[in-house]
Formats: sequence, C-alpha cells, structure tokens
Amino acid sequence: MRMTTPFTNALWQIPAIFLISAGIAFGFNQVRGKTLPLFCPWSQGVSHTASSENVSIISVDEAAALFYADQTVFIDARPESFYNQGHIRGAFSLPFQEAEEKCFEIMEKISPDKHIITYCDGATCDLCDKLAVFLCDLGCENVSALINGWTVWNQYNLPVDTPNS
Amino acid sequence: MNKLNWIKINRKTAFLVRLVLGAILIAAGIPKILDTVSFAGMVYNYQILPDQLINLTALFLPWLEVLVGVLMITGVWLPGAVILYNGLMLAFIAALSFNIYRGVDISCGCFSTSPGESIDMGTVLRDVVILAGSLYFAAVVFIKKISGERPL
Repeated sequence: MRMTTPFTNALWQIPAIFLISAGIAFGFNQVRGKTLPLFCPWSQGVSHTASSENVSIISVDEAAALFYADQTVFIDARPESFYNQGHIRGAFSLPFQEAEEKCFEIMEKISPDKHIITYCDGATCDLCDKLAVFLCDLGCENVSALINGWTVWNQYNLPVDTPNS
Repeated sequence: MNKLNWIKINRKTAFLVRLVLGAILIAAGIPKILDTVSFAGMVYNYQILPDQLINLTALFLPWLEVLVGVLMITGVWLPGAVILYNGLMLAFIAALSFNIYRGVDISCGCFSTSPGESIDMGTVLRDVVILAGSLYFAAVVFIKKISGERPL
C-alpha cells in the first residue's frame, strides 16, 4: 500500500481549500444584499479628473470659506464605517462603491445652488475624485474634490461631527 | 523529565496553539465578510494589487481566512491548512512592512474594517508572533509525523 505523508496530503489539500474558499466567497457574494462587483476600475478617478472640465480640486482654505459662508455641501466618499467614526460637519455619506444606489437619495437633500465638495482620506485616496466625476456625469454643476479631505480638515481644526459630539 | 512527559507537554501545547491560531484567523476573517465594501477600500489603499484583483481579493481572502481557521480548530486537513496559514502570515507581514517602509499611512484591515486600526511596527510584530506560532505548529504537523508520532 502506498504511504501518504503530510507533504503529499498538503499537495491536494491546498488547492482544495482554495477552491472551496472561492466557491463560498463568490456564492455568498451573489446571494447577499450588497453584492460587490468582481471587477471595479479603482484607479480611474485620477485620469477622469484630469479630463473633466467640470471637476476642480479645491484647497482646504477655499473649502472652509465656502463652509462658513454656508454655500457648500460636503459629501464623504469613504465607506460608511469610516463616515460613522467622524466626518466633516454636516457632510452626507455617499460611499463611492454605493454611489449608483444611493446618489438620488442624497441629491434630493441637496439644494441645487450649493457647491458640492467630495472628500475622502489619505493623499493617495482618489475616491473623492471618482465620486466628483460621477456626480458631474449625473448633471451636477459646481463639484470639487478636496484631496486628503478628512486629514487636512482635522489638521486645520475645522468643525467635524463625531459619535461623541 | 522523561521523554513521555515531554511528548505529552508538546501535544498539549501544540493543541492549544492550534486552537488559538484558528480562532485568530476566524476573528480576522468575519468582520471583512460582513463589510466587504470597506475591506475592498482597504485592499485598494495598500496599493499593492492591480485594480482587477482588488475586489476579487476582498471577496476571497476573508473566506480563505475563515476556512483555514475552521480547519485548524477542527484538526481537518492540517498539512494543507498550516501551510496556507504560514503563507497568509508571510503575505500579511510583507504587505504591512512594504507600506510602513513607503511611509503610507493606512488602516490595517487586520481584525476589523474600522479606520482606527492603523499600521505600525507593533502590527508587524504581532503578525511575526502569530507566524512563530504557525511555524511551530507546522513543525509539529510535518516533522513529528515523519518521526513516526501521531500528528495533532
């Protein structure tokens, strides 16, 4: 009789574990409420921004001036769990991944004369770019992206909403 | 202490290590399954994978973690599970170290999808300790079997 060793067992067990995990993962994704698309163009935002005339990058000074003049609405492009931990005061949550589902619900609450500023967090985060382009494509005018928005807003000690506030 | 006692102690230790390792991986996987969208954002922020692999990784990796964790706890398919466990820990340590070296300030996405869990050398050290445990258990599974002792 041929002896099996842990090594020979591992050789078939590893691909089997991969296959079972993949089967459960993609099966569960299909039946759950919030299905995640298998592919998403995560890095397209920056190039879109460069080619879009309607989306501008706004500085934190300009954003703060508009905030205090009550001429702007902030939209948080980060996942909702990040938004719940803290966000720019009065900002709406519209995670980029869920933008198509939730955008109309949010847009109904925003006066058309307001300047829309999208933001996320991290100098390399371009979710705000992507969301700004998306809103522009929907027909919104006056849309800007505040790069690294959550961090710079906090650095300037500007008003925020947190679970404790 | 005679040889028999050593084996008993090692068997008990290995059993506990196996349970703890399995529980750690299950605890790491479940929050990511519950909030795949946030986890996909974290995978993207690591800036290691191409766009096409981000959502696939965010979907697949948490279930792989949970399945390997369950196999470790139940003691089923241990040779395959422990190799994957070590591979996962090496991959996590490499990804964390690479981003700390680059100075990228991102959330860990290790045991939760909340933004408060940032990465630092402490995070890497924690993973190195877990890797040490999984290497020890790999030795128990592979070396003890070869020497004729029943694996755990």
